Amino acid sequence: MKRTLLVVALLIFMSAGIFSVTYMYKNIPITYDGSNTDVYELAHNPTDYDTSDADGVASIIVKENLDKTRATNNVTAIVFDFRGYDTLGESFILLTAITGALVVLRKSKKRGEGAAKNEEH
Amino acid sequence: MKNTDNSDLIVKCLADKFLPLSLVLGLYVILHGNISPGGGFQGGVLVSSAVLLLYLAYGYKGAAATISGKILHKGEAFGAICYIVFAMLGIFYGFNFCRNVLFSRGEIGDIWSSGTIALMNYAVGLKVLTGVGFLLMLVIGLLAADPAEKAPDASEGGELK
Amino acid sequence: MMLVNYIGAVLLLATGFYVMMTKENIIKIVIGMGIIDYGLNLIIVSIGFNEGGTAPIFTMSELKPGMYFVDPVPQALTLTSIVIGACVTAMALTLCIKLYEEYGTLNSSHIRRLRG
Repeated sequence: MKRTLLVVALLIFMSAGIFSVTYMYKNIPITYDGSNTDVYELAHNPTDYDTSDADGVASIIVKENLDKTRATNNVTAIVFDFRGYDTLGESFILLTAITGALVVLRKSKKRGEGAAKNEEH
Repeated sequence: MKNTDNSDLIVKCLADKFLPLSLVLGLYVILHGNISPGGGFQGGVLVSSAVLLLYLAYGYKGAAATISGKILHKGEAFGAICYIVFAMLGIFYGFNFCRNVLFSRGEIGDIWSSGTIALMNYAVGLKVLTGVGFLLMLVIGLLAADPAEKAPDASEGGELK
Repeated sequence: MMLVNYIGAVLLLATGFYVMMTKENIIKIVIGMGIIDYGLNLIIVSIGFNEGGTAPIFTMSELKPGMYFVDPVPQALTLTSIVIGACVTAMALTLCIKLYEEYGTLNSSHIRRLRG
């Protein structure tokens, strides 16, 4: 009884998801079209650009990137310069996960070595 | 003396050939973070796969003799402190937090080109490298508490005094 | 072409939910959590795609006039999300190790009966 109810709920969820995704693909336009930023001109004259007619944040970032940071990799410049605060939080998550694993497994390491030592005495 | 059995000779030879390859490729991906796809996170995971290769070829004893967990644990904290110091350079120069104040040194397209982006890249690469390597050594050390691994150690008479 | 990515991500989400709710082995539950993470990362990356665009890197020797970029902001946010998924999986697996040492079984319905 519970399992049939679960399967019916998951089928409703999947069909609603597929319907909404096809509606999003067909009807909603994407904000950053990208066709009106000529990348070849931008790569050779990095200092003359205009951001007065921008459609979204991504077009401003791509136009100002070579002039303000002089980094050719746009994704690295976003991760470490325009959004460096998020990378700080992610470093803290790495530190917390590894220290948490060390604290949780401390007693089980001693239990493994302590049991082997007790067997030999 | 330890008993040397040649039952896993092929694994040892292949691990000897592939270990320097993984180290060099990972360091290349970390260093060229700001001019080609990649960066600190991707290169750090590539370098930390050397710990697994050592464990597959030489067992837990060989891996623990080469890599010490304490140095890796201290190195991870050092990497986090370096990231915060490079982000505080903006405040020391008088601007906001996490600002690129060294961006005007170097040409576009060099390795040393974009100021604090490259320095932060190296700090995060060191942090991921040592962090994931330490986690792998921790979990592999749990597996080594079987009686099959402890048998050569007990027969040496270390604890039966 | 992006419709295939979207439908695949929705299927991954549904599969992950099914695995998390019906399986009894706690390691299989952790695997289901990982599958949900992969589905979400796929849908975030697929949103910022432009037809005919190239990778958002200024390679000086390969650019031709008339090229344009795909959106670089969702790619930068997915990097963070992947690292978070890996860290949560590592913590969940260490808790699985402690559960096995404490109760001696990997079956979650047997563990719930040991109260008191």
